[in-house]
Amino acid sequence: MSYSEREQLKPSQMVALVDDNPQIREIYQLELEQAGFYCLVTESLAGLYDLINENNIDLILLDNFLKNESGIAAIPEIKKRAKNSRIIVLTRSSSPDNVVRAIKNGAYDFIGKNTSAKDVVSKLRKYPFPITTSEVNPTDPFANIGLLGKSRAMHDLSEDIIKIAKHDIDVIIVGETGTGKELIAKAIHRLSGKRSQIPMLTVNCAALTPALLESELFGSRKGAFTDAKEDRKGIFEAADGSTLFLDEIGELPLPLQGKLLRAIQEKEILPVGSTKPIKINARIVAATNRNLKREIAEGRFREDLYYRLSVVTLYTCPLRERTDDIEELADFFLNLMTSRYQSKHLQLTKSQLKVLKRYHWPGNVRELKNVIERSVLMSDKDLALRMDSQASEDKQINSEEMPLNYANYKVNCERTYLKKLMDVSKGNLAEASRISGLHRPSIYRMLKRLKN
Amino acid sequence: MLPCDHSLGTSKQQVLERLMQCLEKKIKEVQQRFYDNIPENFEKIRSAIVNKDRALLKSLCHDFSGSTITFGYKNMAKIAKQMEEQAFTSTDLELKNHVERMNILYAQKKG
Repeated sequence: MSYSEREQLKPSQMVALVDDNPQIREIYQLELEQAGFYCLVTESLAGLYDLINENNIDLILLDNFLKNESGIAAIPEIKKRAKNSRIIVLTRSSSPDNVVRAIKNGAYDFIGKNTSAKDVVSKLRKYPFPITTSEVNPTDPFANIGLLGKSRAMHDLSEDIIKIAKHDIDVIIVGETGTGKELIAKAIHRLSGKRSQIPMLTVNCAALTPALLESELFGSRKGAFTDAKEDRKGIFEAADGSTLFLDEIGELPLPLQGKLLRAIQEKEILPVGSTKPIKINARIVAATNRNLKREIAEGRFREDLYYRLSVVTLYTCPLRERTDDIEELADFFLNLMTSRYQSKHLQLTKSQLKVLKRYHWPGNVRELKNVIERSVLMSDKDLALRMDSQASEDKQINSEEMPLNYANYKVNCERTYLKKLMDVSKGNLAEASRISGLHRPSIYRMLKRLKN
Repeated sequence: MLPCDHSLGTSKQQVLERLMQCLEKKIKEVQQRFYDNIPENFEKIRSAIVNKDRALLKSLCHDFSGSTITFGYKNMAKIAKQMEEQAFTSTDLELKNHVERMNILYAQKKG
């Protein structure tokens, strides 16, 4: 898997593997890590209980035939100790009796061990796991949201999520990149009652070409285009009874915006190459980091779609505006990374925390996570904080020189960032897009805007 | 700890690319080590057949079929699984033939 493929993965899940064969443990651990999971391994149930005590485990891969122990028989005990973890049984004996017993005992899935570690891991990557698999806690709704931070902004956002989640209305989440828009969508889905029983589906509107996006979203009929050899269900149909998360909706091409509006308003879609509409029942949660009002003014976004979607708008707060949460977030990522890389326990010093709090975090929480991951990877004895070059440059900005008008400050930052990006990518937009995670048209627009 | 040194680049991309390379390299090493140890497993299985220790044979075949399938050697895993299931019912000759079939698969893979 390449760097860019790995970058497109969902936020990593913590996986614990229980298998008594050391060779199997070793290859699974490597394959899981390469696929972007955090992986802990152990040979026994006792070892698993220790791991559960020390970590928040999302997923447990459990071999059924352990030395003198049965994985399936232990599932109820594991569920008691790790209420929020999902258990997947791996076994070579996939007799119907075993499958039924495993599922009855509370296993989430059962994978016959007639396939290689690589294939099992690719199957896991397709599971629709949320970042925390917590079941809904009826007594403490805040515990179900899965967002870190106790700042006023996060508290208000959590309250809004709780209020709107249970009502079957479409929602749009607006906020800068890296502020956790997908996490919020997952929280809404998790708290949405009946819909939460079916996994939420996610589509990144910027990741596909318009033609592909149309057939992915609305499906296609046989013969609709050269490669359409059979009828294909679209994501709207697949999300029936569940939630459909449309990420980066601001990137949706205009012609598709019309089709989306019809899907939202009429609750029906027209597959590519079909004249017969299909009724749909999916709740739409959309997200964007763009200013949609400006996009409307510039003719890139349909006003009617905006007003249809923005009945409920949730705003995610940039990290620089909730510095009170930085310590909690940094500690959380530090624990994750030290466990992931099996490094010794590392701690942030007061001065390091000060640096983190002073930085303006253009990449928000995602950037903080990357800084912590990089720092853990490159630290020996004590934690050496490795901010990226942008952060180091910003540290040198004299506070007196810093423009206090926010718009000017943002333009300055964007200019510095783009200059650096263009230097590193040697002016190649495709390379710049790959490094930054921004889409080529977005970079082009930023360059044009800053030039003007 | 991952087999990464500290001469990593400074950008996030460099670090992750290096990490991917480290993991890829390590996976290849582990796969090669497993492959090189396969003849040793055959020897243990042969010796269990010769010593008529069918319980040990069953357990060895169980472990061997599990690890071979995990490493992607499907055909070898099938034979080992068959041996595990027939550990108490097959004759020595049948079992030895199974080992030879696995040995041929191994030699073909090596070739």
